[in-house]
Amino acid sequence: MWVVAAGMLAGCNAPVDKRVQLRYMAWGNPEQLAIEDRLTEEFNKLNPDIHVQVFKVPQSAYRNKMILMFASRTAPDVVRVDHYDFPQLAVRDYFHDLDEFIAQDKEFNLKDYYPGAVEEGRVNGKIKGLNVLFGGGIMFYNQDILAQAGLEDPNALWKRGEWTYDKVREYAVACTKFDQNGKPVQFGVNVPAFPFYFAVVQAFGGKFLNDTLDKCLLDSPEAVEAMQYMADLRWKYRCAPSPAQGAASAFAFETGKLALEFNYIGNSARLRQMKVRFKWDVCPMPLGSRGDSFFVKGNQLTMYQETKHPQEAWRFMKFLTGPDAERILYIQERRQSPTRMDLAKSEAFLHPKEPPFNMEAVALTVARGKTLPIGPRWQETITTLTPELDNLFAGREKNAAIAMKRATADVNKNLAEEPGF
Amino acid sequence: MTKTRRLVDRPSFWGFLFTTPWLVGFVLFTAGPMLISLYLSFTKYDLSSLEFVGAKNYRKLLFDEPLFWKSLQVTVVYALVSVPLGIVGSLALAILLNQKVRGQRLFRTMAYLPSLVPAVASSLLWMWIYNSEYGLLNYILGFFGFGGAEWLSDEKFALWALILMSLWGIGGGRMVIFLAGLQGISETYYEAARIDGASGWQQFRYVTIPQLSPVIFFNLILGIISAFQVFTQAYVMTGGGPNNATLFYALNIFRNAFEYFKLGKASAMAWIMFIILLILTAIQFGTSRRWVHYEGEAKS
Repeated sequence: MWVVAAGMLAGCNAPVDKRVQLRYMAWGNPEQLAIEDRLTEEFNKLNPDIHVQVFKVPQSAYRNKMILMFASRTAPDVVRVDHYDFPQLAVRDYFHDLDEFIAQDKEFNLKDYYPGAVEEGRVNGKIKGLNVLFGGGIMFYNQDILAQAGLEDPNALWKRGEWTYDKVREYAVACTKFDQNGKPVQFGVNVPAFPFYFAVVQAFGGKFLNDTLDKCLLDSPEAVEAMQYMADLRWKYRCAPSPAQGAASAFAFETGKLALEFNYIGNSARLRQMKVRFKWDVCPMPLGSRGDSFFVKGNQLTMYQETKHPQEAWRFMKFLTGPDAERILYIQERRQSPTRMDLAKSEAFLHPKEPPFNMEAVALTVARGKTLPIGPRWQETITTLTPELDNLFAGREKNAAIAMKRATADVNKNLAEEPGF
Repeated sequence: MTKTRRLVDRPSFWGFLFTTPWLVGFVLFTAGPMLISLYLSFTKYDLSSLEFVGAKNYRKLLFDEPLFWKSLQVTVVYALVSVPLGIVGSLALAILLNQKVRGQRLFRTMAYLPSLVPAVASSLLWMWIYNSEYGLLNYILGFFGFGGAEWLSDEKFALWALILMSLWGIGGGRMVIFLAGLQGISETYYEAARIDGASGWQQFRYVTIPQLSPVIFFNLILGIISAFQVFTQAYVMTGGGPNNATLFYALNIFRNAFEYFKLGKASAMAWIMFIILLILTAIQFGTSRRWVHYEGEAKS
């Protein structure tokens, strides 16, 4: 009892922390979370009147936790949101409008950022989030495998305008190998996974959804051609692993058994960390018959609508998207691509000492990349679409025209329904 | 002098007092949310706006929602096959483990171990077993000259693969209950049967089964309720696919509630499931008089 009483008295005399307390919610692998801690500590040092605490939630539980916290009005002051979830939550007014802060802050200029990065954070004409961990789809290639097959460097082809989807298939077929029993030992390329197939559709001249995001267009001849191209890589040309062959990452790029891979530039951090034993680099996504395949996607840094400290939260958000933090995130640690154009054009970003070396391809991707057609009904749209895409990519339906006709009908039926039912 | 009559007598007062924490918890965390979800099932609620819509969610589900019926069908097939299989499997295992042999405790421990593996971990393990390229199942089939299959990505097999996987848990709690039931059967019944010349099968059919019938009944009710709540395996292993072949009812509720934010519709689905389970349980209780025998119960 004396111990308890003494403890209580000691508590009474403890100095009161007068700093504004903020909570910042984020997820990531241990390396990413270590950087979040480092950036937060840096901010706390520079801003002695504020104390930010990182609220870490495992990725598998992040979405549900975040939704429940918003719905129960207990969300942290600043929340990092994946862009797949951002529009769905933004229309529910969970996020503070940032235009007022941007207008008042003379140090903050939206023109410093890539248009694609700004656009992702805009909802119904208002800025509701600032882009972080921004990046785009890119192509990784194993230089050793290509050299063994006597194939020219894809970047050289790109510069001549010859890095096309036909060329990718040609490379993939040349690099695929089977053993004496017919078992695959090396594949040429992975089938572009979600959302990369939308970029392929784009390069073939098609679109997934119309501009108002209320009509599916995947049954157009251009989209069907793109989908057939991807399915054929796996089932006709056998140069891409099937779902079963690729299970448990058996032919992931880092194993050294895959020549070309469609992936985000952010994956390069993992490859460096793993210290893979082959030479690799990146090149732009290929050109299609009717355009390029550049696309961008990031996370949004949002301010909770009901935060009690909006000014302080804004200072923290500005710091995380400012030049100092971006230099740590994207030049020192190379987690993704800078959202600030001057950094993406800097010598330090474009000429690193470790792979990937061709950072021009990354800068080009984020500069020209289109945003994905993600709206408030994205989750149900993509779930409705998935069965037919599964049918096509799992080889149950070989004809893309049939699969896309059914998929389009399903998605359009869903989109025509009154939201919420 | 008139005596004031107490609302509850002294022992009952203390009883209520000690159960109050549980009662408060029940009202706050079980009954309260249930009533709220009943109300929500008559609304359109998307986490931002709430609108009373009457029975529209129920109408839409019952008459204009193919995926509702698909998920119900998947769940019913799963329940119809996996529950009897599981009961038979658990009973058979319990009988084996009830034999007085050397190492009996070790065998019992080994049989119980798989049920201790978390559902997500066992799901990942079974994904390996079912992998069509490197999986154990296809390897064994190939060893005996049979061709393999794409167990989880083929519409024809995916649900059956999950049903087969459900047998992974036959050595769990259900088997322990059977084991306890078996040990509770008096040896005198078997002795009397043997004196009457009953064979082993006859002893099992006419002594063990009737004596175990309350346990079977209990496991049947719980098994059907559990089967209607299957979620993790489908969420982890197939995501409801291929082509919605493993879209279990609980997974469908989860999607509507937490992916599409259709909480009114999801609540209606939950209440439909509750009503279905209520009817099924009532039917089981109704038919139990014919086949469940309680010790000391007089049958006319």
